[in-house]
Amino acid sequence: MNVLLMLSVVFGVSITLVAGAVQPLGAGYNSRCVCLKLESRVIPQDNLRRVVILPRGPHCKTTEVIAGLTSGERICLNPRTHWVKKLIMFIEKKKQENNKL
Amino acid sequence: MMTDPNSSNHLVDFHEFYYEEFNDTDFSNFTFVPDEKTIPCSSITMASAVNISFSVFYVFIFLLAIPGNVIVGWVIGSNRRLLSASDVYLFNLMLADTLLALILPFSAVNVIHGWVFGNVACKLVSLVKEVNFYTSILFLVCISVDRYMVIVRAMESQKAQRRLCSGVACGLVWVLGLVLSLPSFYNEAFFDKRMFNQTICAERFETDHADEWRLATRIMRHVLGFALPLVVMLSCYSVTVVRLLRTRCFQKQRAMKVIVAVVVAFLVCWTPFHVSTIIDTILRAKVVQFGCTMRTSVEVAMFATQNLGLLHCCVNPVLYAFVGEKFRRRFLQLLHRKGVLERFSLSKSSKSSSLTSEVPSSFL
Repeated sequence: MNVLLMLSVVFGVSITLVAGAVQPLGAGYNSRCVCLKLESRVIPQDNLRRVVILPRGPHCKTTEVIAGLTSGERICLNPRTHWVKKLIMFIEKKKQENNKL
Repeated sequence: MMTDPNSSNHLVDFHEFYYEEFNDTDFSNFTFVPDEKTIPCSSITMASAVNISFSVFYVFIFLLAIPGNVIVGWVIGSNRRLLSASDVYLFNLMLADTLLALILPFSAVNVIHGWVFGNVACKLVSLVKEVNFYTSILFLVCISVDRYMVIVRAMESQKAQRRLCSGVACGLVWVLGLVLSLPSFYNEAFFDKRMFNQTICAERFETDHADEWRLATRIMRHVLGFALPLVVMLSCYSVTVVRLLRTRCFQKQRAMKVIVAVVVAFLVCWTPFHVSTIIDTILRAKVVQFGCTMRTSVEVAMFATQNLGLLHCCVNPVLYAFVGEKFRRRFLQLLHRKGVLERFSLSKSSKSSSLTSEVPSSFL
């Protein structure tokens, strides 16, 4: 029974250490979206600092739009709302203009 | 902050956008309070100490599982002429566990450096894990059916025929395990820039059908790799145990103890994984409301329970050593014989060494 006890201790320690972290592991890797709930309200200009657009992939079926606020917080925007669609188009247009320079 | 070059990270002047879209709107009296539920879930990173601990864990299991299972194989194999059907199944279960143990060094390196072994090795390692997943429980089902046939249907007298059947059954189990494991070829080695910034070996379904494929493979694992076999096993064993309690056959009851221990160990190791995977699947379907904390907890649970499942490959030899009285006797017998043979060779004497009588089964 000493061996079983040793195994229990080792595994218990492993569980404790892993409490705050997880690592992808072969078939168990569990890809997913980063946004759970989406913001549809318009963000006032003074609150908006930056926008990050994460492309869709096997990990997440939808494109994710994350707004960085002047307060330092980040929130998920709803890419289906009208003003966010316009915002994405605006960003893409600016991106193309910058590439031409 | 994310620095993924594939994502569009824009620190631009939005004045022009707001002028174009909202030039008649006055925001000065509008106070925007972020909804905390819209904060994106942070990606999880592993501390180095945790990585090293898991690496040690994998090496430890490897070092325990390989000699343990080799001993089991030796004890069964040395008694080849008198193998029972259950011995054949347990031998194949030992093979499956040994195969799984052999890939643990890959996991030990992976958890620290990421996947550095290339795409082919990624697919093969994933295939081995999946095959072990299915064959382990299917061999246990074969044992439960065999016990039922012997004890409840009284087919003891046809031992040779049953052993032949067990050989065929094992072949079928391996083939079935391989077929059911083909979805593991979706695993591939790819560089993950989104979150982990290293090469990983993981399932990579096509974007538009990723959710459907993931759900299909999971349902297959739950039903064919756990629920259905569990129903068969519990049915066979409940009838068998009732019959045994009625007949008071001591030797068969003692044999059942080993099998029950093996089955319980399997369930202890793998049930938590199925539970956490089901919870994760429910969360993915967005059937219930949840926050980042709960989702992180489920991710950690899936990782932990998967490792608990991996632990199974070194558990059976320990069980045989502590619960299997016949196994211990047989093992000591072999050690003794080997000792006698060595002394015999050394002394070059012509006297014959006495051989103890063979027992019907190495385990049961």
